[in-house]
Amino acid sequence: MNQLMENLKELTSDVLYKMFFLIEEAEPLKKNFDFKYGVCIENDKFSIILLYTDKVAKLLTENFLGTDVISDEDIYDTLKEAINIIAGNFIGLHLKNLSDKVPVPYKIKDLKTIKNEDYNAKIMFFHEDPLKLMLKLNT
Amino acid sequence: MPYNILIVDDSSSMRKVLKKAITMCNIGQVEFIEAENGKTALDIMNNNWIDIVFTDINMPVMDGFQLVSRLKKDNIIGNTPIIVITSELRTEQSEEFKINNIKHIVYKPFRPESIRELLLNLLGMEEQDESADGEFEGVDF
Repeated sequence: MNQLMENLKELTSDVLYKMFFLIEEAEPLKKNFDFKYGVCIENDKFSIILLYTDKVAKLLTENFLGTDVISDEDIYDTLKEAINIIAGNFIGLHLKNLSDKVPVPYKIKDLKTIKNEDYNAKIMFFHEDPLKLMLKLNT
Repeated sequence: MPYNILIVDDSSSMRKVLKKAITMCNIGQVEFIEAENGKTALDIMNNNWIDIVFTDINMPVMDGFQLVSRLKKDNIIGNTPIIVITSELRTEQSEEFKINNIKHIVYKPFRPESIRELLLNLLGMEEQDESADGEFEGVDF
């Protein structure tokens, strides 16, 4: 599982750099963050969640769309596109046996409903703010 | 006459980015038409001349494979060039690509150069000059 999480992190870093112009950074000194946006791709065998702070979600969306005039709808649409690309590549490379199709991503309406203890997680940093990767395998 | 390019994707963000990438290709005047699923795309194609289709695979209502399959059966619009944009790398899907005779695939994450190469090839155009290459320096998508 540790290797899978590392692979997911590397792939996320690559996708966010190539398509969303975000460069992963070392962990900053600041420690308290609030995640505001969450998107998920899952089926009965696996679940992948990405949680974003307000700052990272907006930066990612602005970079992708090439404008700083964005709505919440733009943000969720872009975050769903990002997780679709990450999950599509991740499933193709590492979870071929668990899925024959990439499920449609969806917005997590209430982040408090996520059961953190069920997931393996890694934190990445962009512009001094975190992005949380979460992976659960139901096998 | 502008090229009519149909972009089929359920993500409005991805449609915007594709329009930007295609515009950067300098292929001349382009008229963009958008659809958020295969069914809407078919309706549009039955009523409008389309030069090239860019389509996603994973869409609600009618996915990209269903769209391509339906198009191939149509004598009038069945020869329209199709470029599939996808993040799905699975071998099972490769079979579906073969079954549907899909020859032009761009994998996400992509660079605009890959879009331009395909467009120039499909439109029978040659690389124009070095300034066009300069447009893409340092640019990813």
